[in-house]
Amino acid sequence: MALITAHDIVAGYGASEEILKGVSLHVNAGEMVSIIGPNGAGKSTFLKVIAGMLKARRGRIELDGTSIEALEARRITELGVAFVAQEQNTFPSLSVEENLAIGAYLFKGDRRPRMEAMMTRFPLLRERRRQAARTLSGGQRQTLAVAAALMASPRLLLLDEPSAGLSPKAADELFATLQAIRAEGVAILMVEQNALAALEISDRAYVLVLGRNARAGDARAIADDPEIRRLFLGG
Amino acid sequence: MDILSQLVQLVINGLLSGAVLAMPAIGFTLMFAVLGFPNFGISGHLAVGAFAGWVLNAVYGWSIWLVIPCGFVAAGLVGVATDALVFRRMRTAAPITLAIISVAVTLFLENALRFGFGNTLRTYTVPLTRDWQVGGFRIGTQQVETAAWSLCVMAVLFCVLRYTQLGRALRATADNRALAGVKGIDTQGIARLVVFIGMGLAGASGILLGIDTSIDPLIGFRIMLAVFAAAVVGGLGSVPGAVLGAFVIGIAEEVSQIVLPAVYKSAVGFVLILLFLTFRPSGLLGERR
Repeated sequence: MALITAHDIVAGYGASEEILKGVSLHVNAGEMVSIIGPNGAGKSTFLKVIAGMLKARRGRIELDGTSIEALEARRITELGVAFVAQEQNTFPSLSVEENLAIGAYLFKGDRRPRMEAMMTRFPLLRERRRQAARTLSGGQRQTLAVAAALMASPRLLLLDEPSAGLSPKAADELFATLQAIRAEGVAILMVEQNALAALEISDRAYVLVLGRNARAGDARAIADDPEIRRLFLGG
Repeated sequence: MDILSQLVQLVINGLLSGAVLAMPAIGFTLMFAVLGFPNFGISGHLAVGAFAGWVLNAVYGWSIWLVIPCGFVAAGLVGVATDALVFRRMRTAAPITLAIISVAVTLFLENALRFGFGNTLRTYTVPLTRDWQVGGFRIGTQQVETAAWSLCVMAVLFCVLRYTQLGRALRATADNRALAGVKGIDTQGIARLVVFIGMGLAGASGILLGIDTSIDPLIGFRIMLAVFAAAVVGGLGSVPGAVLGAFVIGIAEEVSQIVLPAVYKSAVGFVLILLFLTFRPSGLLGERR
């Protein structure tokens, strides 16, 4: 059953031209889905629309059958959607621990068990728990951003270029972590520059081109499609 | 008094006046951090707090120590009202536009007070106390009391910002408003709270300043330059910076009297603003923006 469904989304920034010109997509509960496509296809814009950071000009988004396209970002978070942006995804002057605490801002119970679990999953966060986020390296900040998003115990995790700026080893670790998160039942919708790696761990994928759906289907089939490999996957 | 003793006396005076100056400077810098523009409306709200306190103290006979929190609340509420009526619908406007509008808000508030109370200098009803003599130096008991008030308020604010989830939410909103919204923080509510605290601090400091001298509708206007200087010197947006900046300005203004006539005291803040904006725009403790 679909956890989130987007119908015919049209969106853009300010009074400028539309970037999304009618994108439709769905993610089932516990599923990992990737969105791939060339630069300017509107992949990141689409995630922002789902997260409520950018309002769709047209179209409908349903989370568990409830319409969410008009809701504020914090209401969407409240309903179980967590978003990790590509950049500026942590609070630089707050410590690692404080970033995690803010991640669970809407959770009114004791946050310590969640924080403890997150520091066990990502040991480097424990080592640097008192450090300000601005003092972390790019990869460490990315890990913190994902951990802070998980602090909200989301049902759907939206990730915008999670491996951007990471070393190959750090990227591999991140993808392994994403698989573990997904195995716990969290659905993941991801935009990823390293499309092949993303397709390898995804169940399904969508290809966006110029703000429209170009292809959709099983991730393996898309990864093996010779035309898609030639156009978007570098051979 | 030899020059060294004179210097020590001036530094003591500077520390005491810096402690009071720190309150509106914290309010100013806090609002800058969260709202993203220099809200010069703080000067009018300082006067609102001072007059609210005067009415309760001089007209209704309330104890001066009781009216300080009342001045905080009065100025804070007027701040929330001006924010809702004027600034809320303009959150995305350019900072310079908002800064100019905030000057207009101050002019409105000061003239409203002038309309209601006139230009007469007014004083609070406070018990007369003798200055302390410590090691040959004179320390005004009233000044020490007002500085102690200011330090208590700063300590409470520091603890709230540092150790509570609300304080973390406030700092998170100052860091990255969009991300704070995604995390579930009510950023509009945080903006209102910051205005309440910022203008409230200004209002309470209006009373503290008035206890030491007297009040009139331009009480805030006269120290606005020093408040702005304290925030710039400390680093706009940095609360510890505002405190440090306030002490630097307080001491610099007092010490300048060794070489300058007292009437030029306020020029010190102006010179420091120029120097810092030219050579160290991020201030002593601020981050580069």
